[in-house]
Amino acid sequence: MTAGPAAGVPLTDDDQAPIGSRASFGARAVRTPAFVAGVSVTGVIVLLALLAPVIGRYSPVQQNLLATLQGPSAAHWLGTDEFGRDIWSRLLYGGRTDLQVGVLAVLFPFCFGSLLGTLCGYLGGSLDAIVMRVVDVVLAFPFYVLIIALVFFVGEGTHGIFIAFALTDWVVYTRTTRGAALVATSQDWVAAAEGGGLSRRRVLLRHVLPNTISQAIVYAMSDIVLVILAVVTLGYLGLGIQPPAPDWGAMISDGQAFITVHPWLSIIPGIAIIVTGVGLSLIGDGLADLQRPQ
Amino acid sequence: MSPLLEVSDLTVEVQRQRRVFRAVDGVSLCLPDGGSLGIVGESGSGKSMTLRAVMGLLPRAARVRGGTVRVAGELVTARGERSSADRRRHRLAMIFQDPLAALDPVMTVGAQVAEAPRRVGGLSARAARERALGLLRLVGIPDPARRYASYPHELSGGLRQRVMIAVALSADPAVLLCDEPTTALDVTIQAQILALLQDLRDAQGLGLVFVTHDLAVVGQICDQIAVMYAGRIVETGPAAAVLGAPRHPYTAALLASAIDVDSARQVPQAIPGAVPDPFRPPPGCPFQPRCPIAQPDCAAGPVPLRDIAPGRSAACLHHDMLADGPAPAGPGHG
Repeated sequence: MTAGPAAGVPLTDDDQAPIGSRASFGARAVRTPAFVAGVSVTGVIVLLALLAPVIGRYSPVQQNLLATLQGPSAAHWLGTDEFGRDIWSRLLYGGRTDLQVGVLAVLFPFCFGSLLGTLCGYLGGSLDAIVMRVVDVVLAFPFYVLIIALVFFVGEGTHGIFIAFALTDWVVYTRTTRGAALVATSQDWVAAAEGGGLSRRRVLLRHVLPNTISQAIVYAMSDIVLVILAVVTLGYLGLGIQPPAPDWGAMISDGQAFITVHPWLSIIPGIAIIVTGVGLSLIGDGLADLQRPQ
Repeated sequence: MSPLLEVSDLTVEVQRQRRVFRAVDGVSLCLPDGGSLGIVGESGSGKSMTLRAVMGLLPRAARVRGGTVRVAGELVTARGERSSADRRRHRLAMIFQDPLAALDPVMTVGAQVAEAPRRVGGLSARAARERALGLLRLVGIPDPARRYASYPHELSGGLRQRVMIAVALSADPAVLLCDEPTTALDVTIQAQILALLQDLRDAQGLGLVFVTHDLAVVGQICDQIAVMYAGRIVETGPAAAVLGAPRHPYTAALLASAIDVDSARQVPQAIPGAVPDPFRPPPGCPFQPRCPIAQPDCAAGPVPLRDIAPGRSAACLHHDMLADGPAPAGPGHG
């Protein structure tokens, strides 16, 4: 290319208008109320969970059979349970466990499902047909029936939960991203990228995937909530995190025996779950808002 | 010397709801070095499909069923193969009708222009950036260093179209295939983009294939013209000659339907009827049911494209009727 700028091609005022200062992602995020609220709520919970060893004051498994089922006091801010364990400490450590399991259990389905869905939408053909039939089969089972059956099969505890979610949860990401990839693939910019001689791998990873992944990220936020709820449900059924490790689900089910006389044993971890769920959902909502073109 | 781009007998079939029709039926085109060819026709005439078949970018439902595409004498596409290596080697690039849809929404425009030089051309990141800036400057984008980091939705329509041209040029093409590049733009910007493409053709020796339904655009920047109707070429020749004295009634009707401020005729003439159902093409000449000069023999059998004058051909049995008299005025005549 030797010629200079295309001379004799006047520009309109529109083209010469100053480049509007684009608000960075951070600047726009700060102005999105749902996102700010979600990040604040979730941030506080994550911080409390991380600081559990510092602010917990007691070990979550340390029993004190001389001080069981006490109400709130200076020594035990939220009282003690039937074994005299400090509820405040168990709440913090339980959050640690549940958040960790929630994030880790979503990680594999998110990565694998999104990649597979994007690949199916982009390539189509027999891969797409086969994968989508498998997705249909997995989706045909009621979610909890499938999870409980799998946890029974592979064994309870955290690794059972990870395996059960790895096997079932990817389908949602695959469905979501496949749809987005189908839309993207029919756009001219995919044709333009292919027409420019780029490899299909490059087009897939650099052009199609960035356009499909945002929906998967939004879903992943509510999915973490779903996993935590599932862990709690499984814990309640005795299939989740195994005692004496602290976990909100186990706390709720343990407190059930005393629900009429000491309802806070179940109510306190219940509130913790609700607040975490609201926080993560708000982040998801906020991200969805942020992605909408202005 | 072989022509820059030569398309022979290209046939494309499209499947729709388990039925197949021919969207492009035996189309042959020839673009000499540094030439510019306009393909005109109504929506659904197969002009865009022809372009995408040449580029190897057909949608999934469409297949090349026959014909060859040669760039500088070398065979590029046959039977619907999609090979990016082919396109790279033969240096075809395409610009699209809607620039917003043809640019990746989540990638900065600079990165999109730099991508082909970096990934295909093998330049270093810095050299690719320099080249991208050079291309953005070439297509007339003011202050390219600052626009480099813009996203497509932050640019005006005209700038987007310029960026898309820069992306197309980044693959260093010999032929630029333009699919209605000005349709989505308003008139002043249209003129700028046309001037830019003309500049590129003159300065870089770039071959242009221009698909449009705007006859004025063809008259302005193309030296050859091919008129398509129902998947076939019905008339070809030098643009000035064909537009000045059409020898196919469809070309004449297209001209009559265009707004012409210079002529005394105020009201554009609509072409009566509609484009034929692709699944049930009419017998004989496909334009025959709408044609003002149709004769009984027009429906008898296929009407091939025949040479009618040096460098001109038309697919009409009765092109002589148009040769002398004025163009038919449209409905109600003939």
